Amino acid sequence: MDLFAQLLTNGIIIGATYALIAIGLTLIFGMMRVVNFAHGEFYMLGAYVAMSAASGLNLGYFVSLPIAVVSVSIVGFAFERVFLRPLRNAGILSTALVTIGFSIFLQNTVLLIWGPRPGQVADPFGGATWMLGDVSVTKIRLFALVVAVAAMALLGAVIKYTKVGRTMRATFQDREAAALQGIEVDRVFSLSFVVGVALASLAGALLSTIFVVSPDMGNTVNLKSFAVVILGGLGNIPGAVAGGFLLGLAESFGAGYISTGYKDGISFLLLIMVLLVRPYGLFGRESSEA
Amino acid sequence: MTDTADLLQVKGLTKRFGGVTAVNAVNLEVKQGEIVGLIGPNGAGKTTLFGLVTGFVKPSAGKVYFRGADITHMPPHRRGMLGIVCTFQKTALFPDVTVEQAVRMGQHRKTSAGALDALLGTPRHQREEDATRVRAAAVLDLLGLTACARRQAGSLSYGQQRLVELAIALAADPDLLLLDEPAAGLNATESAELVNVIQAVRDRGTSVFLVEHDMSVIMQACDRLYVIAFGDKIAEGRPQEIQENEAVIEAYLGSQHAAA
Amino acid sequence: MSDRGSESERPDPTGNAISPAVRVALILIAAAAVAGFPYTVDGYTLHLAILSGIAVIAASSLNLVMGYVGKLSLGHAAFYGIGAYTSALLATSLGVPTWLAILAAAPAAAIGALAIGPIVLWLRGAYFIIVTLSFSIVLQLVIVNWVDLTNGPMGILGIPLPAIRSFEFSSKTSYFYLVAASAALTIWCIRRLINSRTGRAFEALRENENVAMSIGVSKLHYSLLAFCIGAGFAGLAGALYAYYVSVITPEMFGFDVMVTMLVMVAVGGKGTLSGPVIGAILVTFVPEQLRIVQDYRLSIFGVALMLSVVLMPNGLVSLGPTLIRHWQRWRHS
Repeated sequence: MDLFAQLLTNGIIIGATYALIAIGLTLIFGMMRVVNFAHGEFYMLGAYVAMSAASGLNLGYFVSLPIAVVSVSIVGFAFERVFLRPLRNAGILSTALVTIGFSIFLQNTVLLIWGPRPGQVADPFGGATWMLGDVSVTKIRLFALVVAVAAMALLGAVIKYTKVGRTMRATFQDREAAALQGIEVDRVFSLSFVVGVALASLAGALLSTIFVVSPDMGNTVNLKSFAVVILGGLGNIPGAVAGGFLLGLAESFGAGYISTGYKDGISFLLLIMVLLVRPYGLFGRESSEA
Repeated sequence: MTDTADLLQVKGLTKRFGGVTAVNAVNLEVKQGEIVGLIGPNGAGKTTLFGLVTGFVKPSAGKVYFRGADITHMPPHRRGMLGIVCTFQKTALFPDVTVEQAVRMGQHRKTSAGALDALLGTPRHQREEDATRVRAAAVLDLLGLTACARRQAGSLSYGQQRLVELAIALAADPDLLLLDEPAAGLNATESAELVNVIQAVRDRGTSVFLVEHDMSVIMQACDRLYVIAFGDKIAEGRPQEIQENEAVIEAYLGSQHAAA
Repeated sequence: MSDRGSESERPDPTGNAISPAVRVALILIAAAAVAGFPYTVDGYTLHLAILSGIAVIAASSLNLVMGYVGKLSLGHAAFYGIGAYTSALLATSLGVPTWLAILAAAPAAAIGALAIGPIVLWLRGAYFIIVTLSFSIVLQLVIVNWVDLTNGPMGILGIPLPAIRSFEFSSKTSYFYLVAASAALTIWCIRRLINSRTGRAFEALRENENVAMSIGVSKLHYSLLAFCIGAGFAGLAGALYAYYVSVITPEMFGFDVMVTMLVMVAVGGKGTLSGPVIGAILVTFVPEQLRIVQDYRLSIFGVALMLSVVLMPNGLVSLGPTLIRHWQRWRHS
């Protein structure tokens, strides 16, 4: 029972960060019909900026978090404006190529700037743990969970209750109708992309104290988040959340009960299995535009 | 029991989406050599019914027959090969190729050379390459598109693009041509031209089934009409009869502009 | 062989209504140039030329799926790798003669495509891209881990010198001719396919799947056909590479190879015959000529890919006609 609770806790925590990343990816796809192959790289960039700010500039972890999110969001905004907006009507192949290009560029450039040696951000809590019953959780992981959930809740609230949120929802449902209503679709797209990037970079910054920071850390994350997003259905935000937690739990229990070696393979197995049975994901609906 | 003159027969065709019945047990036929229209107020189910006939929408119940054969569950490309070719509501053509190439592409079902023929340069391949060029020129001529032959289809004006869509469908030499709102966005001159084209197509042996809002086109072109509202067929008959049909008038809430 | 000029719908500098006599003359001149080439350049340039030739085959094969059917297959490098490993294994483990091993590569890759094609090809857009990527990653993992078969991350060494009967391709020059001939054959085949009913069906699927279906084009049949043929040529390229470098590793299945192919097709010009050729040659030669440090290569590729998609969506081959058109417009204004 101990092990179960422990694995459950870990699974939920990791699942929350997967959900965070997946929400961004699915939001970008649902809104803009863009498959963001650079999503993992924004995650990676978030971790690197956090690391540089915290250790390099000695600003401490808690200050580095918002710095990471804001600076990577700026990068994301610039990318969207310069490379994605002109391709608004170009089709999925073109936008995929462009995000692939950016992903390669980011990954290699980070490698050039920061070097190949992995790093990590020091745990600001110094490894302190909390005991919830028989389960021990490091404070930093708990912190990550709280922030991730808070971010998701904040996003949900904004989408549901604010004017901006309503605009986003309208554009999400039908971009042409939204344009006819006077909504500046280009701006909504930019906003959505930035939100997606912000969430990814937040996840990266949060996990920079837990996982190793290296230029290729975005690769597995990219693939796993694709798996999650497909499981949940492309464009389906609640699906992405559910899928994120599902994957986190699956990996945690898989690693705990079966083997840690194949942990990363679990997402693929899940993906392929689900796609064979339900080709549009667990929650997705058939769309002629996917 | 199907009438031998029936090209297309639809029996009890039904489509339910979740709790909504978009098409409710509709029967209709298109006979050889006819131009049949489908009209109805917005949201009546016309598009869904059209989709059921083209094969892009799967029915919840009912049957579709073509020349007496059951094609209810046949996918669109096989219906295409049988000779049922459709156009689409939103502009749907081959934008990044020349108009001439697009019309050659449309002749897929009229030709049969395979990849091996192409690689080996067999007589069949040679013959068809020439034949498709010739036929393309003929179709372009019929629709007045000869001048645009070498232009990228996507660079043409809206009206010309709609003609290209039609050209692609005609290139397939269909037995039954299904048109989804072909007059949408066309001005009066273009609509009149469209009527001529539809009739010319029928005179060459292709039967036509069209969904349309433009009453002048419907009244001039169609031999018979079906009226559908809220998923039910509420009337059928000749255009003049439909014009005077009270149920139809009521269904449109009197907001339809007068026919030609 | 009597194509009355190739009816290329895209600006294609290599084939608009050239008379047969001129065409024959051009081919003879090209053949002479190719024949004389190895004797006029140094060994390093010849080496790059051989790599370019292999790249031409690989890029053209990707272009068949990406440029003509319009699907972005991120798993294409897998077929390149399958071809390489098949011929390498046949040669080293079973002692199969060169010509047979290389010939076997294409069908092996095509069979791979036949296996995953039906699962993957009916997925639309984004799903297709992601799933093909996943498959190639899984395949790479399998290759790396199935040490008994593939020698794992160490790869396969000691692929023998390519030989046909008793003639050994021991010199770069002879191998250059082999590669050049294979590349010419590839382009020839693809050209014939494109200018045919089959090619038109491919393009119909790229341009608009729904319209294609309504006129009778079977999406599954034709996309599978393109997928398998593309895989076959990729496999051929892989085999030629394996024999040239005589050592291959699972890296061949990796993203680096995939990206390189993508850049070649995108920068050169997808959907045209000459685009991948130009892209392949450029991407192989230019980084070397500019003495670009290996470290920067991927960053530059990334930027090149982004810029070409936004600025030159039809690739470099479209640049000529586009500039001419702009110039004509400017002149007449």
